Amino acid sequence: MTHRPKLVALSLTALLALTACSGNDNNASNNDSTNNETTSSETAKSDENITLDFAIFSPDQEPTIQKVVDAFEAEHTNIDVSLRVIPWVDYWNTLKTTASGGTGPDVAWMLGAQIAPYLEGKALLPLDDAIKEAGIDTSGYPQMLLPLYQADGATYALPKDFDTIGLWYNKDLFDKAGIAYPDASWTWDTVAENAAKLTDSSANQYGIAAPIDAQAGYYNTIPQAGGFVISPDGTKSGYDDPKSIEGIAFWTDLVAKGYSPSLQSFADTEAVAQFMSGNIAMMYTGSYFAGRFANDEYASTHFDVAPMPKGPASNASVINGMGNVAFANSKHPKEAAELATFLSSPEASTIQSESGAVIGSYKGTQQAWVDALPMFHAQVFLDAVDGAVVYPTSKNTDAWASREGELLTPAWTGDQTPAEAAGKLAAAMNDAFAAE
Amino acid sequence: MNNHLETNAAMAQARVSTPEAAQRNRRPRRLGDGLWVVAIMALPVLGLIVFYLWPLVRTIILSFSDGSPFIGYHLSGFESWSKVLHDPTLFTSLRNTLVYAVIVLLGVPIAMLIAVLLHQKGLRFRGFYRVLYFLPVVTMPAAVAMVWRYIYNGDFGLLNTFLGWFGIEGRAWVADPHTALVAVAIVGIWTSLGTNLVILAAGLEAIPAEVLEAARLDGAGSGKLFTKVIAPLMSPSVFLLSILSVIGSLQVFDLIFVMLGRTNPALGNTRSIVYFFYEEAFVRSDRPAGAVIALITLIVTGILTLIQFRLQKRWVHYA
Repeated sequence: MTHRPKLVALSLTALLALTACSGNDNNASNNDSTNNETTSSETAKSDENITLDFAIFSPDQEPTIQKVVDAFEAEHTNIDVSLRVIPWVDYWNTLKTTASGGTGPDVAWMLGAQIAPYLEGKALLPLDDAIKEAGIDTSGYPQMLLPLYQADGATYALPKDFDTIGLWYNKDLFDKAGIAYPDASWTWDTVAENAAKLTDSSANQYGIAAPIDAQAGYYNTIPQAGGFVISPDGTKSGYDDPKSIEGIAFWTDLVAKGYSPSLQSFADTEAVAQFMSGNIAMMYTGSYFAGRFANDEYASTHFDVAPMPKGPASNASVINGMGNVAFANSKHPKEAAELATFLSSPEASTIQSESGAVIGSYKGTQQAWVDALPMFHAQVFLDAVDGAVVYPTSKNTDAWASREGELLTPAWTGDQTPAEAAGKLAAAMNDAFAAE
Repeated sequence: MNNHLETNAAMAQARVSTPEAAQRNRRPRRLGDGLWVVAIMALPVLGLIVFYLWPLVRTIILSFSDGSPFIGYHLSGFESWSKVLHDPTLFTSLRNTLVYAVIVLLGVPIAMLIAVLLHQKGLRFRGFYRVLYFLPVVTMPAAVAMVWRYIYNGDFGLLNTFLGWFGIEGRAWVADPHTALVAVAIVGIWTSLGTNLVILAAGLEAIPAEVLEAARLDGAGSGKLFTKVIAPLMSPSVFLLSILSVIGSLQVFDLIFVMLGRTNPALGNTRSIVYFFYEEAFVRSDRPAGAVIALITLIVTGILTLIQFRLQKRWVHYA
């Protein structure tokens, strides 16, 4: 017994040593080849060979991002970028812990909802010089996304992509019910009327999916009703505003009338999975699912998307976009800033749009995304940018956002009215703001 | 306890690997022996300090601090303690955890029954059964939780399909606030059964055959044999199990995290104390509050273990 672990340990060490050797070999050969290139082409600005660590959280986007990284490496032959995928559930903790401990990546994906503690701790590099040097005209980005990554007049990231929300529907279920497909003329009332017609509880078929979903759900209907999640001056919660409550009641009514599966059903089987299994006729969801639907045999032939139906005030969609940040404690700050800038550049935007995985952020590069999804009216998501409302964030977004699901649950299950639940959420949110 | 075992193992190994050690033991004690002891003890003690005591001290300091990961933390007082102690979630999650612990404790008598059945003379396929019961122990908790999620699914779960054959209407077991905690605890019992069985089987093996034979000669039937002889002789093993089971239950997290998901209407009735810790420390990034909850968990664990040690005098028989 005592010998076995030793043997295993020994073989593991041997294995490690072997892989380490081969790793070294690889690096060595890479460095050799890059050296050769630099000496032959003499385009590199520096002779020093360096490695930059770059962290992302989406395995789906990894192949596309690798292409962007390859394009960067082709321009900077002395820089080797090592791309690392950290799963979403671990990503923000890992990033926060390693970045504050000085062992983090040089460059990483960032969201507006997460950036505040990094800015507060001065952990990020301003990219203004790198943006100027790269000659990027920032008027090409969706303007409402830029402030997410700006503080005190400096820019810490540019949006690399964006997503908006649309009304996805199952053409097959509409055809069977003899109802015309949703279009720009639809309003909240049209949604409810047709959801009723499309619901057939005996066949376990529902008109619409109404889960507790912030980005694809009430973050859209609240502004559509004329309400707000955070007050315009950013100091207090908007959930107790009567118009915001209307935006929440839109969903709870659909559940109460039985047009949507219950919250319990969504806890067991997530909404998008139920939608893709063909027993839900409509679902509000983002451009971020377009790629998944396109790659699914059933969804790609049965689904399409329409603009957001109009609420009492507007048909605004929420818009969010990811940024690339460089860390201040990077050993190579200049190169890290260059990489972070390139990853959000028009060139990177083109590569991403062409992949069909995400909508590249830069104007003029997005048609490629629409073209990559010929089976859907994907243009809807680009049109939604005009008048879009930016995803609500504050200094410590998770402190209140993490309570939304639990505090809104009683409104969905019918135990509380939307006004009661929203009032409690507003109180919790205002407490969180006070702690910021 | 682990450290204790490791120390023993390290000492045993040291004795075997150095032939002189055996000789030296016979000689009168000298300074060299003391050095050996220090050298051998140093590693586990160092491990204890680095991995247990120092983090504990840091956690206590953190619980009285304020700050953020990038700016750093500084001592500030009792704010986090007062915040957590005033949060009703603390008490609901403590209650949920204790209910869970009590339900999982029921796994001990179940394991006892199965252990005795498996111990029967002339049982065929004994090895097969043991593997069957031990399998969940060596399976990843996340994988176990995923499989049970499907079994419990309200719309097309295996359990509801099975109940449907008998005309019983099922429900969304892990999404229904009335059943979610029990549903998760049943999985907890199932996953702990294997470890319980191994410990109980060892206890059964250790009962001398002569004792059983003597009892039989005195006219004890199998019922009496169990209640008057086997059960009392097994009580130290059962006691060990109940301690381990309660400590393990107080730390339940992964099962709930994977089986429930984030927008589950049953979360309020199922959230365990460690789940609450996770939400505060990692979702809301309030590390000092997380430290407070961790310390409360430690205190509760200590109290419950102490109570069990007090109560053992009434029912545990050391042969």
